[in-house]
Amino acid sequence: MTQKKSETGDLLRDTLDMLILKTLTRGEMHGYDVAEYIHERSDQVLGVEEGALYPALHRLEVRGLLAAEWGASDNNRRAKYYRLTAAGRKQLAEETAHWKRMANAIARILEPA
Amino acid sequence: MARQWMTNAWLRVKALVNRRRLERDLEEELEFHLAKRAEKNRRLGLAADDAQAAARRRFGNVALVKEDCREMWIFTWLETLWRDVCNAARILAKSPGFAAVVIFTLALGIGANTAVFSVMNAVLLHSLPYEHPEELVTIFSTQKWDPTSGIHAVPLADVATWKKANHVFADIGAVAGVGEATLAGLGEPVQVPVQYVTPNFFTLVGVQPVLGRVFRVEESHEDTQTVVISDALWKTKFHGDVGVLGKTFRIDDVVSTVVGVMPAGFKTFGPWFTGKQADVWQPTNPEDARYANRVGFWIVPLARLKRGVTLPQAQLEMDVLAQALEKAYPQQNKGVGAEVVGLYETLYKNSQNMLYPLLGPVGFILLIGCVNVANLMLSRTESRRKEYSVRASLGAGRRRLMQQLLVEPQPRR
Repeated sequence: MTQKKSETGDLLRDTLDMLILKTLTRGEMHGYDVAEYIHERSDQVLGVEEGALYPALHRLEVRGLLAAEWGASDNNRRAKYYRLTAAGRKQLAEETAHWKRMANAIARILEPA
Repeated sequence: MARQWMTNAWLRVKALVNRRRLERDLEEELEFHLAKRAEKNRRLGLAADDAQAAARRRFGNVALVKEDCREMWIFTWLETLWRDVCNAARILAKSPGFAAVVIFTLALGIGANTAVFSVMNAVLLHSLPYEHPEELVTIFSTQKWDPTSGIHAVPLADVATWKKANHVFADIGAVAGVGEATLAGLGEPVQVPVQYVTPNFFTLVGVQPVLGRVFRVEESHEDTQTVVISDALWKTKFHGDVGVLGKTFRIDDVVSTVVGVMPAGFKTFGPWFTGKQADVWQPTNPEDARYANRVGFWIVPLARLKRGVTLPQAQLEMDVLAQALEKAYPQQNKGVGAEVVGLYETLYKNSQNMLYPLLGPVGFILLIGCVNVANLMLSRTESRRKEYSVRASLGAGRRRLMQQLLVEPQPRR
């Protein structure tokens, strides 16, 4: 458990934030949908425990990158819907650019010349 | 940054105020997730129990997640704050000279302000240590033929007359200035600060002795007298002995018997506040025949207003009484008026006049300090002009640059 956390933890914390922000560009979503979307889109490579998503969501909300509202869900239960704020959009743009630069740099080193 | 910080602060305040609601929302949010997952598991063909268990397995430790979420609301804030503090510390450490100058400048400004305020706080903002000090007033005499001569002490006999005739004061007494006298009969003769007060003085200000009693109305200073002593004298000359009551010594050769001890911290005052404290109080009685000639201006009347009587009302009454005295004793009282002044004003008017103007300059010192610091910051920024233009051309927004300037003159990642 601890082992797993340390492996995925630090790298994932920033990455997870970015993924959540990206996911929410599609519109308002509750936590479960965000988890499902990330899970499906990543071909299940990112084996995140779904619970880890929530502290991240709350962190982003506290930082003002997300806004949250309670609403009725499809099965008529109350659900907390998250949506991207302007600050969140900006943060996503910055992080995506940063990530792409990093990924390119790493790829160039790893690929044979 | 500023706006974001505001949003954060607001959210956190809401969370703190509404802790129970945060808890409930969190519970509901996670419940919802687990229910959705279990539902999906069922659709995929799992039995109800298994579907729920699988949902939990996939979710991880629910309690831990809740804990993490809760912490997020408090911890994130501390984290951001800590990061800012670290940043600031790093910049300061990087340029100790600059830091020293800034700290010194601000310290000077703040120090001067604090110093003046401490004095003001001690002298002006604390109320007098007496019962209902706002009811206490002093009465001075004025000389109508010479308005510029100001206010003067009053002959004791006038006090006796006013006391009988007035309707606005609950009581009138008088205090003299604190003088020096020789105390003999307790080992080596020493000089002690003494003060004449009317017997009702302690009752007027409403302070009880810690030991014994205060003066009786009829007590006076004659060949023998009763005295009330200060806590300090009691401790030094009598070593705090409870048997001090009834002991005698001589004050300027007048045999004096101790009848009471005032509490430590009891502060007296004279006609003009000098801060000098008396160790021995001697009674002086306005009714005494020796004052009947109405000369000798050495005391200041102290009076307590009746409940609900205002200063102007008291002044009106005193005007009438002063006129009556003028008629009764044309020789001594011709053209003599009486002016009622609040005790607080009498004691602190001078220091007020001295201290309030001081507040302005020290405020300016702080202001100048701030301007200097701002200048220093500006010059540092100026030296990094190039960096800013590079950042701007790379697409940094105007607001972002300004924010950087405001937070600290230091490059960010």
